[in-house]
Amino acid sequence: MSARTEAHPPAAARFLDDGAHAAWHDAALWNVRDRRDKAAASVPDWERLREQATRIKQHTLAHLPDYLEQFERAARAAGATVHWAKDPEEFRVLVHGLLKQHGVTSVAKSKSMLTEECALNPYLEAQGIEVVDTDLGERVVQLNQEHPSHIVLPAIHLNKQQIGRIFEKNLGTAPGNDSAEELTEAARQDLRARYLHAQAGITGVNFAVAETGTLVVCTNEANADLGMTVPKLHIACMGLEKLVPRFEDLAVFTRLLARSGTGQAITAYTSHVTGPAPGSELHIVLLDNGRSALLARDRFRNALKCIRCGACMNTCPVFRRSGGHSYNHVIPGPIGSVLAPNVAFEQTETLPFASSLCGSCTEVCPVKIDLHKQLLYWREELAKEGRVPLSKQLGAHVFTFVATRPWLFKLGGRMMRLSLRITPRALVYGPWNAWGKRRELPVPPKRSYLDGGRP
Amino acid sequence: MSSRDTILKALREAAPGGVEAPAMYTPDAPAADLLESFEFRLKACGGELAVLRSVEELAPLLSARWPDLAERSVYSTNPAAVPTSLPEAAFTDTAALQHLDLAIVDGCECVAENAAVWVPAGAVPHRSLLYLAEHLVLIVRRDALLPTMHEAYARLAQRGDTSGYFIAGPSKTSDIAQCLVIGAQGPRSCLVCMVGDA
Ligand code: SF4
Repeated sequence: MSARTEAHPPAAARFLDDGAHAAWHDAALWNVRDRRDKAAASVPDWERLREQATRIKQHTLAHLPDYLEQFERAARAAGATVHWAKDPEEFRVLVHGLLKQHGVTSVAKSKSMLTEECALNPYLEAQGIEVVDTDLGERVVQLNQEHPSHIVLPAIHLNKQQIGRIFEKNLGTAPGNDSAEELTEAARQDLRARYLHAQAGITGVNFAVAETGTLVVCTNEANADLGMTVPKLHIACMGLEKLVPRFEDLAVFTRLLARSGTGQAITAYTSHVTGPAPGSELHIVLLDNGRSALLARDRFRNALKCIRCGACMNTCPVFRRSGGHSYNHVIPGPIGSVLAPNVAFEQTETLPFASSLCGSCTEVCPVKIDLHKQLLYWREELAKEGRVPLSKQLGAHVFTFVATRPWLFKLGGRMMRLSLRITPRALVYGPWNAWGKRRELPVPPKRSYLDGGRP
Repeated sequence: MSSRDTILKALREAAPGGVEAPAMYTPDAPAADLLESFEFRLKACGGELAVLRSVEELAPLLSARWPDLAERSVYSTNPAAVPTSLPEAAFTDTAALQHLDLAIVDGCECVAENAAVWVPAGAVPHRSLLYLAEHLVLIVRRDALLPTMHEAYARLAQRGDTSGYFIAGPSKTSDIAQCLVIGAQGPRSCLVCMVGDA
């Protein structure tokens, strides 16, 4: 894990400083969420499908070591070599060893959050190996020397003009050119030459099948496909949790993934690799890095069901208005906030609070992870360890005191409704009122809900 | 202990066991006409459909689309329909394949719900040509059209066809400020030619 440990609230506040861009980010992601809703509605048995997906994952996780051994046998039988890595360090050394052994000096890498998790790029570059991220969004952030801000839309934090300037500097496009078509074409020309030059392709894995040893990689750009078919060496990197038991189970997940993520019925390319192509080599690296520990945690195990579709980010009101970088974790958004404390408990203590607990993430998650509950459970764990900030503790204590005394609750409500109406604005919207920052408090009703003042 | 054994040991201690695998999934019957749905989905993802009575109709169709077809570099798995123009030595040479204009490839299962077409890895002499080609033409049979991914995967599992690609339309990206651009890094167009009767 890298040392990016700034807390969420100040980072989110910085994101909001550029109001116009923050509004665009919010609307763009909401638009993706909207497309997801339409795609889900086009499948009559959508809810049954989600149920099937979560049950397949539940079963697989319950028997994960058996399925991993089965996968290893099947992949070997198909001609692949299988490696295991406990942590990022072992992973980096292993991958570098493979590259060195094959005399590789240049790598075409397609999107893999796992290699981000392991900080593979800087390590390989330090060893003198050139790594080219080939997913267009990842290429943009690589050229801009930063990290993806979203697991499916890596450059969603940048606008066209910014990307135009990045390309002008690095790919020599004309100054002021911000046409998406022309910038994409420039990247295409540049990248296609790089596949031919690379001696190895590194890819992530979307799904792996225990029964057949098959890897499935899903993309729209064909970049992973070029990376795994043009060079003669393919290194596929996957977390232990990517398995499904049977080849036919893939139908369930390929129907859910793109619809949930981008609202497409399926990605343009869904590639199935069972063993290497003739004359090529396939190495599969399995990474633990906290996954076995997460499997041991009853309340949090479900997070391992994640298929990294990104839907929980697109729908999250906090993510949309704070941007992925504000999480300072390789996986941002609701799922990132439940995965982060498992590997970096102390550095990520503000993340379980980066949520309104509205539950929208849980509603859209294709594998039915109880995300908003897990966020709450992590808050509980943090409180147990005394890691909840005093302001939040105090608020909770005051609320408990008041809420368990109905007379006080009613009195407090009446006083608040009155005082909000008569207190001067400058006194309400001061730095002491977090709820008044960058937003208007609602006009208080004359009578409370309990008094019969229902709308 | 090796990392493998350490990891497996930790997993054995952590895995709760005891959860039954759910039965294989049966999807709801599709509402729309399969061909209509396939065409709708294919257009939605930037591809095009041509319905042909026989494969003889393919050559005139492609010549109309690319009047300079004879001068272009073409790879075809269906030489009876359109011949290959590349020398055989180029089939497995990625440096030569990067200039491939057109790949014409026989596909298998077609899926109505998402316009995906299965192309077995073994259908082509080098897998990269599916992605290096500037344009892709997939030839499929009308009777290979299935409602959903479930029927398609069931067939693949049955014949043990586990290496291959579901391709739905041309390559594309929205990574620049969410603007859809067709023709990202792979083929810039994808024409599916459906031949024969249902
Ligand atoms: S937690 Fe669910 S919604 Fe979020 S990325 Fe994972 S699978 Fe998608």
